[in-house]
Amino acid sequence: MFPNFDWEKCIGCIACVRTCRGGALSYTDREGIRTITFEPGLCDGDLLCLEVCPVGAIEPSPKSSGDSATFPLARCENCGKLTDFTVKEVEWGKERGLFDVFLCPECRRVESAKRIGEGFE
Amino acid sequence: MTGILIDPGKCIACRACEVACEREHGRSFITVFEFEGSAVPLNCRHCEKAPCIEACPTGALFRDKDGAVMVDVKKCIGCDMCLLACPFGIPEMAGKIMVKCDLCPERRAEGKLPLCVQTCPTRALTYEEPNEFSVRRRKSYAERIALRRAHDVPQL
Repeated sequence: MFPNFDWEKCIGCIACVRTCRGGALSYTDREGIRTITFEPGLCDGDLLCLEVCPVGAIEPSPKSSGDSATFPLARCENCGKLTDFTVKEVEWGKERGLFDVFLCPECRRVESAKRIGEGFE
Repeated sequence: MTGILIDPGKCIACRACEVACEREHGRSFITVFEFEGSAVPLNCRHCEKAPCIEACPTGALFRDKDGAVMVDVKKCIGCDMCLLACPFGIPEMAGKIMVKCDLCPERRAEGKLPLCVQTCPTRALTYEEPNEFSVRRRKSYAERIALRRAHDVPQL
């Protein structure tokens, strides 16, 4: 069986790409755009991608002619730097209450350390 | 749950914790941030309600018997979902695996303190229960008030 992608549901997190052993799934981050590509010729059909997908965007399918989708990457809401997370991942994180303001990891470290340090002599 | 607790009022930004961590792990998982009037050594907080554990799609993150949030390297796929969820921006990638502070499991197994705590010269880092920490802090604050009164120093 091949994976069939629901790109509407997909948030572009690349958990599927990371778990794919045969290299059928790949991605590039270029100029603020993430492109995820599925090449069925390299797919071994283990469907590990389906198991790890956090949003249930993958379903098994008997055939596939390959697929690809693009996702804009999100910027840190503090320093404006382009991050490794997609805009859809950030929206997903906000919906789940993970954060109200999306900061890059560096800004998160500095801001949380600053909060811990506040009020000390 | 025992953890590494931070007392920024005591940190002198000597970065001995960073050096100690690097000696133990080959790279440092604790970073000292300096601000006007305070310095804060920041490592994984091993949160009681850890967003990273909930976000991990492969169940690679778990809590060990001492309460440390740990990575199962066999299950981790390096997808970064833990980093998306972490309020402190802690998880880092080493190739395809996430790495972070593990509270020095080999040292803990021998009954020793995490090396950063052992090394901190001012006790800005302690390894204890949060309740012990707050009792100690309350006591030290009360002592400072008492000292000021005894020496007739005007209150701030």
